[in-house]
Amino acid sequence: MQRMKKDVPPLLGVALILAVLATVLVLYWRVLLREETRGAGGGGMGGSRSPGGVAAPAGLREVEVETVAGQTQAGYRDGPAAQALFSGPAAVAVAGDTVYIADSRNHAVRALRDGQVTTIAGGAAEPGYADGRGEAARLSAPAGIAVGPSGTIFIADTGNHRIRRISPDGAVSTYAGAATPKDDLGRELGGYLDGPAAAAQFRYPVGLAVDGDGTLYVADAGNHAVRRIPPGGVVTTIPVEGKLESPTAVCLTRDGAIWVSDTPGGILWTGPTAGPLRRWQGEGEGVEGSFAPAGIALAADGAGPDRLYVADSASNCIFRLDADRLTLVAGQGGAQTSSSVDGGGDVARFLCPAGLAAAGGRVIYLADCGNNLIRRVDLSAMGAHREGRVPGGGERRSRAGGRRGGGRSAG
Amino acid sequence: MVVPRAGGRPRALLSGAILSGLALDRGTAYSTREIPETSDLRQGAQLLSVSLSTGATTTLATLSEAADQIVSSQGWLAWRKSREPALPGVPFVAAAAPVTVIRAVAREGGTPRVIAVLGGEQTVLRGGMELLGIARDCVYWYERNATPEGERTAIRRAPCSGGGIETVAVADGSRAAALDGDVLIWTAPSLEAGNPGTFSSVRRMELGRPGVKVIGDWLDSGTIPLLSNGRAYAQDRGSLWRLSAKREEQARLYEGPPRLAFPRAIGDEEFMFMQLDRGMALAKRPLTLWARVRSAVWR
Repeated sequence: MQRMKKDVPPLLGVALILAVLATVLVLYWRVLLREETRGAGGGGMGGSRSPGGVAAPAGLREVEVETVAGQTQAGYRDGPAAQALFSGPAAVAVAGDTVYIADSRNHAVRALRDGQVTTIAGGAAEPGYADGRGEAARLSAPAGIAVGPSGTIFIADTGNHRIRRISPDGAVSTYAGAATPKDDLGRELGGYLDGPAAAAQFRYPVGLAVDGDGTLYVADAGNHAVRRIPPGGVVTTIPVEGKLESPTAVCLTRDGAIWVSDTPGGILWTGPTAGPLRRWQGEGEGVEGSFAPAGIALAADGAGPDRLYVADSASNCIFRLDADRLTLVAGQGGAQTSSSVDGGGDVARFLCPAGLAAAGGRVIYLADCGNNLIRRVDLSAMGAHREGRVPGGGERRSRAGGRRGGGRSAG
Repeated sequence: MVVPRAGGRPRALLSGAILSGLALDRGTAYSTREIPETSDLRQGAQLLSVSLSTGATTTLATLSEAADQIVSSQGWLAWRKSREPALPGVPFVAAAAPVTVIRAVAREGGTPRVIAVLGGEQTVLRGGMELLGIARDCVYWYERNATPEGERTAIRRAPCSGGGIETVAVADGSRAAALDGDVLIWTAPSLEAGNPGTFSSVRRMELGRPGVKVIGDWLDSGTIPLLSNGRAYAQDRGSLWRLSAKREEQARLYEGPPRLAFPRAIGDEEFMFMQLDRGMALAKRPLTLWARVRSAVWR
């Protein structure tokens, strides 16, 4: 050091120090820029996980999440919404001012109306299979629900491998599905057979959607298929260009298209309702990895036309499909850390979110299965930040999706 | 395979493409052997008993599926089988959730009876379960349930002849349990240490009698309890403890280096922990030349 001080002129020393400082500043700036760009659009924010090919949030967490019924403890209790208990609510459907809930581990269909929760079908401690009215009817782990144009409620009676219906007068009957072989525990194994509704067979039907004509679409998870049941008609299988894994939810658009969520591969499929279904590709990338879409619904938000919302049971988040990519709108992500928190989309937390259903007034309802809660997601404030520059200077693509219309319900 | 305690050449007792589950009781071994294809094209299995002395094999029952674990008593055989989820990766569909089925049959054979079905619609997420044994004509098991509120651990039982499931003890924070005769022991977070995540205690219950006693404390959180001939032991890191209802009699029988990862040479002998069907055992053997070289290298 002494030698350096003697040999290097003071001016050169200062220049060297400045050069080192400048290099450090440039490096720091580049790293900072890269981090900000990554946080804005490349794969995570605030520690949250997002699936591959999914855009991370910027200003889009403008939703408000509110618990409307249930408590985080599992149980079975009717009454005022805040005191009501559910056990693994798997799907919701909305008709008028009533939210219908497929309460899977209570083997029941519940209704939320005017702040009161009531059981409208099933509700026994053990699964069963019986027609009847109200609690005399027996169900087995229903995981899908949809309301038809005439007010008929369709249920994916998953453990019984059948589609059940509740007529407006409250009578529960079997709409489609025949008996299948049983295992040594006496449980039906399910089967696969197209044909007349009374003879057709299903295996773990999960998601349901019904169109304006009363045609029912079934995400037949155990058969890796989407089935179609026209009113009083014959069950058929919608062709697919590829192979479905476990389709979990179905959603219909007003212009005759169908969306299907497929778990656990994390794939969305779409096509005309008559098929064939094709794998949705977002911006050239498949949506894979930890993405496990359990529920889908089309809903309008503050930005305008209906768009597809997706409940991801792997990252415990809700995403929105923006033409060519998915955007995180609510949830903190991370299966280990998620719990139940109400509030803005950036603070809200879910646990194994499953069924989604759109309601009027830019609102979607969510069956927060792991938290045993029914949540309400208000989308009316969304859209204010859809255009513009993201922090750090990167520009985010934000094309509005084409008008897809609203599905009646989604399981 | 079987080999005399005094040593010798191992010989095959049973053979088959897949043998699973093994219980030993009074000179007889019990296991299940899978039948690759039965007449109705569904896989099945045989529950077999084999005499250790003569090798005579008897088919006690034909099962729909092989066992994961078998336990025995003087009058009963019980086993468990866990089934994979019907829709892998779809956790919210309760009907497709994995289940564990416990069955039992009289020791001389007969028609197996389902005595408990665990999982399925009961919880969103589940942990594991392990059969502890049979006592007083009941099967006992240790069960972990992962819930949104945290892990719930319990020891439960069900009569071998059928009947409801009963909770014997709620043991949240427990890591392991053991049953021998009428004595049941399990680990639980230490109350004395005041730091439940770091230290364990061992609790003891005598079946048919009220009350639970703490028979060991200040043990490592990963302690494994063991019952042998009516005495309670605990393997804690590298140490083996003898436990007693009188706490002051808790004694360390062996103190080894913490968390033995490899066999270690001490003097002219090599010591190692061995995983047994129930618990751990500390084993030793004379040092071979190779073991001496290996020991020198690791040291």
